[in-house]
Amino acid sequence: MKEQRNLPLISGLLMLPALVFQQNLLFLGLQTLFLVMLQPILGKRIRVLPNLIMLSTITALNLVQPYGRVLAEPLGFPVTVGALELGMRRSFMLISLIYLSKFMVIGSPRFPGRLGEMLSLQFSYYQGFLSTPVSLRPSQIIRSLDQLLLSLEASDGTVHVSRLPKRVLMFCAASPVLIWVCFAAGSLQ
Amino acid sequence: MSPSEQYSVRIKDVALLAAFALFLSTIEYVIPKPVPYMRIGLANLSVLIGLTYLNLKEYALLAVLKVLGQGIVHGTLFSYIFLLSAAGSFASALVMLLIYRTASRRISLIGISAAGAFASNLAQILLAGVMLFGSAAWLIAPPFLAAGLIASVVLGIFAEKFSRESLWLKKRRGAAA
Repeated sequence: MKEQRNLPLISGLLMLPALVFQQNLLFLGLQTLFLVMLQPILGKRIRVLPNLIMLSTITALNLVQPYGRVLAEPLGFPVTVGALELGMRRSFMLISLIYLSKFMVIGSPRFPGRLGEMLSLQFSYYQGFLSTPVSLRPSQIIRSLDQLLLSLEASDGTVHVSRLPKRVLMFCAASPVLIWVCFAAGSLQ
Repeated sequence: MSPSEQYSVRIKDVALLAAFALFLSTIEYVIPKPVPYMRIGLANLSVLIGLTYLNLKEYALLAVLKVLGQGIVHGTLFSYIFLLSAAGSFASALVMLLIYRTASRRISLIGISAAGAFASNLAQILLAGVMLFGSAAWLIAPPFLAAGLIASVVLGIFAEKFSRESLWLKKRRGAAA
């Protein structure tokens, strides 16, 4: 069980260099798309708007420093190829790493050492916080949070981890292969 | 209580406060925000509370657990976001600690919270400039810092009230004394 819950983490670590060292913007985009599309397959929701905001703001802010060939000049502002590519590369990289990160922690991985034990204890309490109803009404919030802290302080601190579904295990094996194929294709172009 | 039992209780305290930070950041995650990238910094409440009774080692451990826990829960542990979060949290924790240790009689948790938020936002803007936005990062600095200041003052007021009224905190301070 312990080894199984660390599989997405290991799989993600295998994929990481293929993303970080990807030079080809098109294939970096494809790798990003694959990692985003992985989320619904793993039973998670994709939130489109935050990704679009990240893509547009990072790209737009990079356009402020023009370099390379001028593509267009809307309202006298030069949109250059170099700045556009850099902005898109940075936003694809950020989005892909966020989704890779989400994939890597899907099995609630167990980290080694004393710090790992502390994290397990922290998550045990966190489960307690989430499973206890809290009143967030302004007049009661301090009392309510206080009661919660008092009750959790008395709990033992055990972590409950469920088995990973088969499709997750399948994607743990297949995803690094696909991501590295994209890396190889991008390097050959 | 033997020293080893006392140590175990204190370590559990740190884990509980770190879990409290995660819980607060989860609440923050579901609150709609008017400006992209805006953060309220609710999780900082547990660090402000920890500041008032944890020793240096425990306080540092709380900061590390808060950052790692948030990275795992929000799935950002292996992304740039984690580096931004870590830089902000550590800068904030350090500044708040320095102010608390040197001037806690003259500055309330409200001032400490505001200074922590300023340090956190400044560290994040600097890092975002290097990694994501380039020199244009300074374009987002004024609204980012202003929003952070307002949110941190509100959080500081809440932390002051919590610090005065919390029975749990009274108990913990009593045990620490």
